Amino acid sequence: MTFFQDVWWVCWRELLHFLRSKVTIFASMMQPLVWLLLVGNMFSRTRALPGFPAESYMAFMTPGVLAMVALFGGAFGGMSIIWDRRVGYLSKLLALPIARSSIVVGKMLSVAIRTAIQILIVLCVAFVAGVRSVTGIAGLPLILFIAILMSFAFSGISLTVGALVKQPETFWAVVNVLNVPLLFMSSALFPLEFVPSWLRVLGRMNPVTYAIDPMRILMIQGWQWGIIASDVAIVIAFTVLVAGASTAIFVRRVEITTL
Amino acid sequence: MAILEAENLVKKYGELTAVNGISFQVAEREIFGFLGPNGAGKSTTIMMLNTLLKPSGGRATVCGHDVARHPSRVRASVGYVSQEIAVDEFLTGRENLLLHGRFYHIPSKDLARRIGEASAMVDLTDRLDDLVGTYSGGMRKRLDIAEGLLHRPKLIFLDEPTLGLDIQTRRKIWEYIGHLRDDGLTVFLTTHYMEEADQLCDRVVIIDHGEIKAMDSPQNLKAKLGGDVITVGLGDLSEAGRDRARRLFGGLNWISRMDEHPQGLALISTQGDAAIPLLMQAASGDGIQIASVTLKRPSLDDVFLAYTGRELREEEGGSDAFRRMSRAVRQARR
Repeated sequence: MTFFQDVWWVCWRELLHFLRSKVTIFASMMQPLVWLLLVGNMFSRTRALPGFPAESYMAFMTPGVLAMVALFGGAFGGMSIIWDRRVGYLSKLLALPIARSSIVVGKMLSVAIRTAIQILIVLCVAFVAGVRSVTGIAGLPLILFIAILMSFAFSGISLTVGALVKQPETFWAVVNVLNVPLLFMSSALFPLEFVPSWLRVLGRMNPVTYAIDPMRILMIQGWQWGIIASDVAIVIAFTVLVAGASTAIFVRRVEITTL
Repeated sequence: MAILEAENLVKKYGELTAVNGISFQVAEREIFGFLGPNGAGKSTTIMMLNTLLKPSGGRATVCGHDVARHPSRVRASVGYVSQEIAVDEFLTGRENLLLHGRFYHIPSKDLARRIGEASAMVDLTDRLDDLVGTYSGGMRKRLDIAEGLLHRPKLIFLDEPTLGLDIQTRRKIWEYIGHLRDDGLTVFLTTHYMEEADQLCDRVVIIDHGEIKAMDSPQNLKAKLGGDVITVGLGDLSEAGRDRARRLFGGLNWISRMDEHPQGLALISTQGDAAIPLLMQAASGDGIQIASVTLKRPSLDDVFLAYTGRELREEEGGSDAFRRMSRAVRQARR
């Protein structure tokens, strides 16, 4: 019980940081919108390809942007550990009589809440731009659930990287090595059916693909339970494994040195 | 009764030994100070006692709990104010305190009152609802100390509590620390300011290169020097010149002790105010050129010099490139 309280207060602090930095709010909203509106229009002709699975490229791409929000938002999460270490707050957190896992989980939760808000905004903008989801409001909770799972997994990785590397430059180098290929080697921007076969194989091994596909099915095709259930099961397994392992590594390896 | 016991504590970072087998006890309601230059092992020790670092060897119990076996019990029973001013500048003072209270699971019905008390003690009541980003360095440190006291620990660790603060703020913080003892707390502090140790501490440990060089009350440490301190600046600072001076002063029976000093030699004299003329006579008879002479009652500075062969003040700037660098990094973070 106290664990969940501790998680909540760690999260509360992060949310206040977010809410009090107008620039952060603005920038984190702008990035997915730029993708959606700019890239969405730039590739709008791809719809003419024979067998393109959606009525517009933007409708196809919207679930990809949702995954991107979860992926990049999660990847940014570890920066808060780097920052806390810089200002000396990490040693205060570690000296508290709370479980160290509550520090990681609280920070993950704050990232997930932010991600959920961003996703709702992206969906509103997509709606205004003419994108319609065939499952409508009813499909929304499942879309949010999938995105939040992704966010937990990637913020877990990012927080652990942040705890281990200590330098912001190293942190960004490591995180970008992970998240850029994960985004581009998925079905986010282009149907995997249309890419070279080796890339398709990589895309099929990419967990991000299994988050995007059910969201896309919900928005474009409808309630195809069989495929949605199996994809979501993969995402759940991935998240439990990755977020769990990240928390365990963080708890064991996070440390303060006097040097 | 000892509230803190350390036995043969060791901390190694790879090849480097930061703390090399130190043992000591701290009694309840004592203000106990670790005095030493930057890099002496003070922070490393305090972090081992706070369970932030795992000792490489030895053992320690804090408030009756072993630091290695029951780290969370230790954390719940002590307060820790780190060297960095670790308050959150995006939160108000009240929110910082509230957060701290929540993490220590202080019951909600008591929390508001305790926040009021702790902030009144450090004179922050008026600014409590302002963002900490608008606070001065001294106010942030005071807020940090208030956080350390909020959950009413029996023992509070203050790591360099006045580092980088102006002299008025420093005095103010000394005043608060004095009040803490009156309230029945035990205080463990580290400092590299002599004055701070001299004014505040019941007992002082002199630590250098990770080892305890001396441990006693400031009064006893000074008395052990056995007289006034005469610093003699030599005209000839070459090894030969120093050697001649050493031979001359070593032969005077009223000089009880002689240590190296960057400007020449530091002598302990039992002759009182007559020492200077006697010294000058001896020097001119032997043809030794004296550049300067100062006589003073012993201070902790002199104690430090006597036990480590170095002056603490020089270390503040850092003769060692690495220490200078790590200090610069610490300041840049602020």
